[in-house]
Amino acid sequence: MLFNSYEFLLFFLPAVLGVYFVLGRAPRLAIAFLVAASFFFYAWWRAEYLWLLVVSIVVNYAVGRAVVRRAARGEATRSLLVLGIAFDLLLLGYFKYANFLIDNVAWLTGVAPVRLEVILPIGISFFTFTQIAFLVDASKGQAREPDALNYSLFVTYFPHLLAGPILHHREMMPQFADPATKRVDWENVARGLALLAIGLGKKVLVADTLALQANDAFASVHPLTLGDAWLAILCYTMQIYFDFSGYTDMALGMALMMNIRLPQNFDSPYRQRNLREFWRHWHMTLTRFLRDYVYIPLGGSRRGEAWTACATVVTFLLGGLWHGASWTFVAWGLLNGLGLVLLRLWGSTGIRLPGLLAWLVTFVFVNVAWVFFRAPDLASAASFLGALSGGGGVQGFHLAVAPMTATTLAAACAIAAWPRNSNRIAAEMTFGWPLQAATALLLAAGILSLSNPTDFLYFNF
Amino acid sequence: MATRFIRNSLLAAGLLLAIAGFINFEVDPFQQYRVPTKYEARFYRSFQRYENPGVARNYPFDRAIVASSFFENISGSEVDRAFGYGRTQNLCDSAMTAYDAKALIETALSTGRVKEIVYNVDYNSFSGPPTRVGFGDKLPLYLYDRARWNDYPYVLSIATLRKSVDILAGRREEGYRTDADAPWYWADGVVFSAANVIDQLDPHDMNRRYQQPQRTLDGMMRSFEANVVPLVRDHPKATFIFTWPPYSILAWIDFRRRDQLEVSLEFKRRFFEILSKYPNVRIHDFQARTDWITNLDEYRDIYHFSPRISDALVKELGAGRERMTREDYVARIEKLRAIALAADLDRIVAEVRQRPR
Repeated sequence: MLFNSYEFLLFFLPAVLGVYFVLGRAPRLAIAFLVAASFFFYAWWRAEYLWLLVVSIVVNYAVGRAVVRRAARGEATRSLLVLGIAFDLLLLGYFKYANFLIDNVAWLTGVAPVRLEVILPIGISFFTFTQIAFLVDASKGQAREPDALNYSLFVTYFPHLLAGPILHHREMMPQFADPATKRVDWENVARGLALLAIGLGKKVLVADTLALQANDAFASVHPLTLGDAWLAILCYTMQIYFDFSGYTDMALGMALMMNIRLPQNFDSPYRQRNLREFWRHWHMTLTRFLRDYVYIPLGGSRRGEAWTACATVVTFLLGGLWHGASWTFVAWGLLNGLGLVLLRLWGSTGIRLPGLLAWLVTFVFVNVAWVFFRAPDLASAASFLGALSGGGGVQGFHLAVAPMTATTLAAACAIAAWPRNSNRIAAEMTFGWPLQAATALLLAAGILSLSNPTDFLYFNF
Repeated sequence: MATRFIRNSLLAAGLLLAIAGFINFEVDPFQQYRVPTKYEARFYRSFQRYENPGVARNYPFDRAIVASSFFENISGSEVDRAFGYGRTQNLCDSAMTAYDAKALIETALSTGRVKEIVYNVDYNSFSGPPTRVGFGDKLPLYLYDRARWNDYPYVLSIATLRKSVDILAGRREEGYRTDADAPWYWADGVVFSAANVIDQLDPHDMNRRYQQPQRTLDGMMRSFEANVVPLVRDHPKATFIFTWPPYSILAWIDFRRRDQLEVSLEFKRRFFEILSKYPNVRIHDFQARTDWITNLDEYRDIYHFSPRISDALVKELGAGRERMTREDYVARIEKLRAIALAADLDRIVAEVRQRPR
């Protein structure tokens, strides 16, 4: 089930909130209900893939418990930890990367690829990473969870199950265990509702509108002019931010309604003046995961400049690959890793760019990098980069630009640059009528825009 | 403060949604609940898959034409005259697949009024998985059943609201027709000429413009078994008049070049052999009509024929001509194979180009 669906917003969420608080006097029952609701939420996509989630939870819980017991007895946990992580990576590898591997082996050997009939299970990257983090923390004595029900909720809790934020066990379990979170706190419900409405508006009204222009450009069979290409990539830059941060706002909002505070995932990333800061404000829980579980174990910055550069590039290569099984994601990760290495070298020169110029360089770099994220393959990315540099002509626009697109893009840029982002609005809100009206409008407009029948373009037969 | 915020926000949002829903339900621009009486019905070509199930439920007819763009130029009254009885409604969807057709036919048959279905059989509509839809990710199936409670994506939709407001304001934007007799007619202002067909043809890749996917016999049969056989079997009181349309000769050359000829002919053979066992089925075949398919002046492109051919086809259908029988179906298929194999693209192109413009 998607957050931006009628079923979720009109039926599932209100019902879950209502029952959760009714069951609040019996906290175990409330938790059991949330677990059941989360499984239902996942099964809505494809019930036949529920087993995958269940198996993943059972294995990781069992390995986690064994790790904690061994650690408590002073025994080595490394082999168990490796076993658990290997299971997670094999599961992820089979469903997400097997065909990528097959295609590349086939390309190298010249043999026709025999692809597997697998469908990528929704959310597998998120629930796998969440559980790997748990196993690593358990082996360090930083996490322990004797209760299977609590563990199931930690993994399946529906606001974060499909697209994060990627959670740490230690930041969630105390909240789940607190009986106070099972009682209605109207202030949290109000703040959560506002955040949910903002997220819905960001996703449905802004991201989905800008997607049309970006999709047209990336699907165009005609060469793009300089204007087409820059407009399209700017639309995509805003689309991906409003899409993902909108989704996150909704997740944070609905969790807050249940008195659960999920970690922030975005904090005005496009306002940042260097790539390092960008990554500290973009998909923050993934950055945290990569830092804690990849970059630091690789040695981080403790082994000299050359090693730091290698660790950075490897971390971002893996980060790129985590996003999808394609060379375009590898290229995107590589570009960001190299960008960070370059930034570190630049920092050692002691030269500081003026603020506006630093922001512009960062923003343009991020835009160019998104080309690899969006393009279906490397050849298309190269062609698009050619258009960005004027290779497809520098005059005018070939693609039509709807007034709605231009207006939405201008609004999106202004919102992305505005100092008060959704996190601050929700934290500092004063419940006055302007925000009431805005919340109502965003909810109504967002819901009305959920089913937007796409115009039929089959006019050329 | 917080409770007031929640109450006011939800009440206001609910009120706005209720107003939008009420307007959409009352105006009902896609004719889901009634035939409009307070304004002239609008048939939006862009939203055929949304309107047709409503038309199927609410319009008074007992014969439906269910087809892709091939039969969109056929009017219901024309069919009535040719058949001499009944009342016909055109329910075509551009790029209709077998899955699309089944959903729509079941909606029409669920009214209990429909006795005959004129079904255009297009090979390409059987490509891909049996649940492939012709446009978009999926059909708005909530409009294809008789339940109203699940219509919220239609009633609570900004796209529906835009149409409702246009109708209330009397705005007449492009892109719709008002003639229920031929709601999806597209031949206005379209050029049917051999020169035009050849001009827009890529002789090296005749399928380039259409991007029709390669078909396999197994795949086509799976779709056929899932989307056609159950219709015929489960609705014995309805008569199904299947019609093989007259593609131009160029389409057969394209099939031959893409190794789709034998797949198509074998599918046609099995189609007949399986369906001819049902007493409620008639199958008509216009694909080997050389007087039509070689006259490229009656075509818009390699597939789509002119209203003149549509008219003639309807008359022949009404008169019961070109009906496939157990005695002649093999010969018909052989004749079609011979036509397809003998066709020479270079000669056709040269002949057309030599003609004075």
